[in-house]
Amino acid sequence: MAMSVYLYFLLLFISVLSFVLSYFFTIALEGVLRKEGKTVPDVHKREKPMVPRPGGPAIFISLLIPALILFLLNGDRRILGVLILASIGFLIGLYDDFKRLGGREKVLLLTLPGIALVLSGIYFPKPILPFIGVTRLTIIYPVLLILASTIIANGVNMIDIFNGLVSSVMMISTIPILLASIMRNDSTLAFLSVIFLCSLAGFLLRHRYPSKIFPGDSGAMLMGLFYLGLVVEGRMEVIGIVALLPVILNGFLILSTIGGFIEHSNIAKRPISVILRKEGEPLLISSKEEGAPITLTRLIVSREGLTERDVVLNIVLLSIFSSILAIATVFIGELA
Amino acid sequence: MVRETFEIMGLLLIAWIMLLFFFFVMNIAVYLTEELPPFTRGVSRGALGVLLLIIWLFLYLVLRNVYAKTKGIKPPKLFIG
Repeated sequence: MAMSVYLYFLLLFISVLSFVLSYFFTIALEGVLRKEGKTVPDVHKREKPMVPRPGGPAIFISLLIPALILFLLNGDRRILGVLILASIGFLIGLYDDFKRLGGREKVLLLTLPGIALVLSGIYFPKPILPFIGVTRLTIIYPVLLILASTIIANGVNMIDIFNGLVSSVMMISTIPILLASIMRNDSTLAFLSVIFLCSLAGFLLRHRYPSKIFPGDSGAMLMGLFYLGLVVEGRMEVIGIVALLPVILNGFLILSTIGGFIEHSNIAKRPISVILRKEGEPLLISSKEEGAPITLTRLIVSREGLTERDVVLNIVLLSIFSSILAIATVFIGELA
Repeated sequence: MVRETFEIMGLLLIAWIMLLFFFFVMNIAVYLTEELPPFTRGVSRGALGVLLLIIWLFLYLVLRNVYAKTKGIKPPKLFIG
């Protein structure tokens, strides 16, 4: 009984801490970035307001401090595994925010978090698969982990295109991970999932439409790799893939259309066009150009133009749907 | 919520069912390779697993190309097109 009261108190403490740190550091960072002139235009708005970027450092601090407190309290090395992935991803993203990396460089550099985790040895090559149960993939797992590091980080970065989208999608995708952690009595993973959820919730309050700040590559890559850390350390690989199906679809849609890894700002033909109306918000419509990337947004607006808010709502609904499928996968996995 | 979102949900559902079907096939393969020597068993299971994962991804991409065509969007001219 005493233990569970302690756990409840700890859960409450780290939830509030990550939320408060995220929210207030984000507000503070907005001021600093504006002062330093680190702003970019919000291209889907009529007035194209300048928005501070990157908000990644605020998310990073709000994840790092509660996660380290948790590590000091329970000494679970898996927390360090998650932090290795997330920290290296964040640093690569931060460099990209200020110096701009090429598409191929980014893809190659983002294998580094995976390589670091493999070298640290803080992973378990024994994923729990639906129908099969616990498997042992000692040889192939490290290779898949390195590939997943770059695929997930880039995939999440590619979905960071509208106000509040990436933080909402990542929050929704974390819910099946939290649920599976609770079902498996894995308190460390449950705590880390809650830290991630609360940190993203704090950030989302400033990132939601109309955005006061953008996460930037540092924020998006951090989110992607923290999520990958949860999935790997929790041995929830399949659940993680299913929850991220729309993100994977969007990433491969772009890659297969443009035929390789190109920095998204360097793609000549845009997948969508912004139409300014006399009244109301601008409409996003599908590009008529041949060879323009086929993105999730382009598919959604292929028949009729939608406002940015409506597109975000539709992608969030897709994310909720894939998370429901991921929750169903949790139950199928438990049956094995 | 537009019609396309429902249609993409259908696409995701098919992709999920395909993924589960491949794990089901893999489960049968695990059962059938039980008697093999450890090295052969590990390599054959690993190779089959990776092959099934690649086939799943390939089918997922073919599926969305077919869907993109129905929307009047020309799919890419790559092997997966």
